[in-house]
Amino acid sequence: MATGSGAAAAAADAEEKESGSRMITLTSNEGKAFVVTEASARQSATIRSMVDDGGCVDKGFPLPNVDSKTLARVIQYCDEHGNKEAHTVDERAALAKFDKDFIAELDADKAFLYDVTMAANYLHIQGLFALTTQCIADTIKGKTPEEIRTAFGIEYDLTAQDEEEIKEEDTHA
Amino acid sequence: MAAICGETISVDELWREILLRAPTKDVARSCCVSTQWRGIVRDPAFRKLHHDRHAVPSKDDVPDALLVVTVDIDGQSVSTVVPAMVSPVWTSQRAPMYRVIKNGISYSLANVCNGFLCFASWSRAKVVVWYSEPSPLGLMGILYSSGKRQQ
Repeated sequence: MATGSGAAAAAADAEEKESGSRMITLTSNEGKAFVVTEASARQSATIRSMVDDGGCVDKGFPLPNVDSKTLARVIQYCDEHGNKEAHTVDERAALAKFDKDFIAELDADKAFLYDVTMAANYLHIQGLFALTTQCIADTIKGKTPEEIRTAFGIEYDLTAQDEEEIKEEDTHA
Repeated sequence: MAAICGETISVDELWREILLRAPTKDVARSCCVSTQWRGIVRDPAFRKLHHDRHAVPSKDDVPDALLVVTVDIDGQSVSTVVPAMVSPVWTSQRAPMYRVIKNGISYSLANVCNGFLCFASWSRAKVVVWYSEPSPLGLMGILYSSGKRQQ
């Protein structure tokens, strides 16, 4: 009994090691191939479910909605979160620092930040999506409507009726 | 080869996700940005989601719900009003933890120490010690003792 369960555990362990070392190819819409570890690719819930459903791991996954530049950045995040452990306090702190630096760099280029957000949503990478949307939300913080419009290139399109309603809401507040 | 053709989020949905993560004050201002933003933040479903996400008790929050505790002391009712931590800030001023709104004729708050509140009366020998602690349901209190007062 003990040897039986031991063998089963060893087999499971070997299987896990094997799947951990499996490589998966992701192809951008420009046809550029990116080879990543399965652990990294599994950060994407979309890819994870396809792999678990016995999808064509060997053939790879073309991503028609993501360009090479965006995919490279997304993979950078997935590698960090998928390939590294986050069990100890130090490991978690290192990941938190990575996230902080990662988003600070993205924040400097709003258009690119937007692309990465869309890709994170498309691939269902929850952690990355939360990180980027929170960053954009933080940009809104403390800004006047006018400043928000400028920051995101939004056109002022409120109707006279909207303005009337806003005035009314203000007097109630 | 199976291409991943997951549905992409619309711009409207993306802003919705972002605004859900913005603080309430900024969301309130957002209704003056554009008709699109106005539509998002005025949607009752959005408001509910936003409230659920942001109405998390935190030590910095000032509660806006009150738990009224009435204790019978020598036939007199002593009421304490305890802020219950269920909602986020509504005022920038930190409210007192306790407020005695009606303390019968003679009982008043004599001392406070580590969450213990001592109610005493000049005309009576009994003192009342009340202890409270924050819980997910609000501030739960325990009436500790009515002991003899040391002169």
